[in-house]
Amino acid sequence: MAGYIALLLLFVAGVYIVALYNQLVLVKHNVARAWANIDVLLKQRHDEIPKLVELCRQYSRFESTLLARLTAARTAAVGARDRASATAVGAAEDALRAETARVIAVAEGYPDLKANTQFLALQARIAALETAIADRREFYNETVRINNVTIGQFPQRLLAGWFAFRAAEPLKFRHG
Amino acid sequence: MVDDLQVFVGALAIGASGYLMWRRNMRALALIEGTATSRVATAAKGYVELSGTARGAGEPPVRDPIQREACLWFKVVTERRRNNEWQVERRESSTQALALEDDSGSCLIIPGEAQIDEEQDPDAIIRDGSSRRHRIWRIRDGDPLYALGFLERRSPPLAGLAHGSVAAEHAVIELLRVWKRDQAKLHERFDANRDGHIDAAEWECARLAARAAVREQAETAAAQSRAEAAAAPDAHITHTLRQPDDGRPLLVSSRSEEQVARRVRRRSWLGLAMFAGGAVYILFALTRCTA
Repeated sequence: MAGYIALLLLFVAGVYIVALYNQLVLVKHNVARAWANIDVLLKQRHDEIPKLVELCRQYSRFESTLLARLTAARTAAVGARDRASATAVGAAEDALRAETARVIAVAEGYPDLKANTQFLALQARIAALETAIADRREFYNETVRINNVTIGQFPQRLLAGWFAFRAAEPLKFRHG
Repeated sequence: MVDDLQVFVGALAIGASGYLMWRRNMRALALIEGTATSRVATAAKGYVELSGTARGAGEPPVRDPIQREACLWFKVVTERRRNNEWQVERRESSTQALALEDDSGSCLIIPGEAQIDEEQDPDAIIRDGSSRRHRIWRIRDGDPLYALGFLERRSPPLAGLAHGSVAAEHAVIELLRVWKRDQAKLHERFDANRDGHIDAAEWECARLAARAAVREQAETAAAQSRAEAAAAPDAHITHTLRQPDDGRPLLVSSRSEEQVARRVRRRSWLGLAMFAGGAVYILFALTRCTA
């Protein structure tokens, strides 16, 4: 009888361990999915920047150094995105957002550009993408928190160590 | 012996159902605790957790059949007391869609697919004589609502015949057949050099004209259905939450996430206890038989 009970306990422990492992897989997969959801929006915003640069360049008096800085910030942001590192993306996106805001602020001084329907549409699209990115960043960071809390808890901590489940990095922006 | 067999079968049934209950609730608990809460408007398509307020989906409220109280959703379980036990006589629940609204938007939930408010205390228990009772669960307008399911954008109104699609090409061929029936009119429109024959170039013009006519019809129909959809009372509901195709649950509750998780955890432990109890009895009985 004692042998059977031991077998039963072993079975229960086995099922429990499988459930814990599946939970670790689920939270890890959720982090990857939340990152992919942000990544798609970051890419869309990166695709809008060259259009903004091109539009501003049509105005010969527009400060070319500002546009060069915006282009450089975009290149850095694309590079950080390709590396898929939340810390690098956070810093690069901060710089890109600051440069974009600067270009848009300067554009306010050009009445023709300011009234250009294409510019207005682009400005609205970039603003909408900013809002969506902010929302998804919040969701990503919550998913990261769940992942990190799950792998830090006992007994998941043991399994996470054995199977190399790692803590994820939250995505931080300086503003917003 | 028969009694022993009955107890054995009972233990087997309890053990098996306990095992299933344990596994199912452990899986649900992992989903509830492992999924971050999204906002309706910016959530990506997929399995999401939402939290907001219950709202109507553009239809008048439903009324439960016992107290006739207006609500968005109800479930009534009628039970009869037999041998000191309440046995279910009838179950009834509403099928009308309801909406979950958060500060960003609304999404539609079709209750037929959802596990709504399972196992929580009923809103009312109405006695009907000494041996009959009705237990009533309701979700009212403004109640907090927690949901876990597969979110997707509601389908836009039919765009008519998509340009270049097989259906659009069939419509073009059909229109050309109609035009061919009236040869005089066909020549009048497309015989540009007036030689009495529609040559290849002229026929291509006719095809282009037919294609343009089909496209115009399709666009008119699409604009009409878009206008109808925009005027519908549920036009502000942009998303639908449904049961995913992979067997994960569509959970809806008027309790908070913590309360739902606590209940699911309790059920998971109960399932484990039933399984362990049933298994221990079976092992004990088997050991006794073999001894």
